[in-house]
Amino acid sequence: MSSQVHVAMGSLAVSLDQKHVLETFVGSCVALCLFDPHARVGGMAHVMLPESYKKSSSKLNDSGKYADQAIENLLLIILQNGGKLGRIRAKMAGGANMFTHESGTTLFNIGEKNVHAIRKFLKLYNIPIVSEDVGLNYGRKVEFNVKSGDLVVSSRFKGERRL
Amino acid sequence: MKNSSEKLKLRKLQSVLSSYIESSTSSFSKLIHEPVHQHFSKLVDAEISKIEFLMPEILEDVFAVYIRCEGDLRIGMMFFLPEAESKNLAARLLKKPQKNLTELGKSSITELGSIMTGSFLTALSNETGLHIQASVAGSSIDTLRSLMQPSVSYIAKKSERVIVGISELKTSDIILYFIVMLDPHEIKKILAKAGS
Repeated sequence: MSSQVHVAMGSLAVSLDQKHVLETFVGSCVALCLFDPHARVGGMAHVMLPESYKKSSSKLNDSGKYADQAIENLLLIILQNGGKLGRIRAKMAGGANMFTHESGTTLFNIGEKNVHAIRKFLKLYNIPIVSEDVGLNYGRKVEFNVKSGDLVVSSRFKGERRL
Repeated sequence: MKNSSEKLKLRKLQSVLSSYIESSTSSFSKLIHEPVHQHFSKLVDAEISKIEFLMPEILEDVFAVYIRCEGDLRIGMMFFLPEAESKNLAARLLKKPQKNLTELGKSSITELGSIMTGSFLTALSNETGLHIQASVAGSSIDTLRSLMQPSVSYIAKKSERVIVGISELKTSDIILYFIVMLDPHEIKKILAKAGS
């Protein structure tokens, strides 16, 4: 029987427990999951903003807030728990543009910037994105199964998808 | 744990924000030709990770209008109500029954959000002398948790905490929620000038 671990806005969680399912809700934010399928260790960050510009994040509960720090912090904990850099894979969901003007003009495109920043920083570590469900204009419930590496994304418009 | 001086500041801020929201309430009332009562239900200074748990517990999807304000202060404002109730509100604004929420219905509620933001900012500016410009309003239907994220991210660019004020504007059969989000470091700008 699995147990849900909620990942709050701007925070992150890493688990070695095969029963754990990490879950969160994202709109413009991105649920970024990094995992080593061999070591079966994985984590999820709830990324709110593209870049920290070297602003230090002192508390663990908001260490998923910025894309650059979220990746560094997730990697650090995964490597400390048996993960190896060459085996680590990424999956992500979210980065929606939640609000549009009635003319169709894009407003407040923070979601797109978050996705772009995550791609950029993952590239620095040569971490491949093996699946994703990003962009568009709706919120997503995201569940990451540490044991299987499955990412289940549910939304108002698309129902449930397994990535 | 907050000290008594911080609690006092929050109480004063609640009173000040409530008076500005009263201007928005008055505009709302005029537009629907019905009395509207404001109940300021919550003002909290919270860590970002806690915000989603402080929001009203609405499990169904909501129709939300979001406006962000920049200038002497950064403010995120969001108006929302359950999607099912949004048809009633649109019907009142358009004076026509709404079987489903049409594009015109959505537009009418979005415009209501713009007008209410304008009333809030005018009251704030008159009282404090601060100059703030509002963005174009954006609207959407989704879960409250998803919709609040752009607003929290906007404030969180500069701060690790967010001040969230939640007010309920009640008509005879509709509750419209009015959320104001502020950077805690900026509230002194309001408190220093309000009522001076």
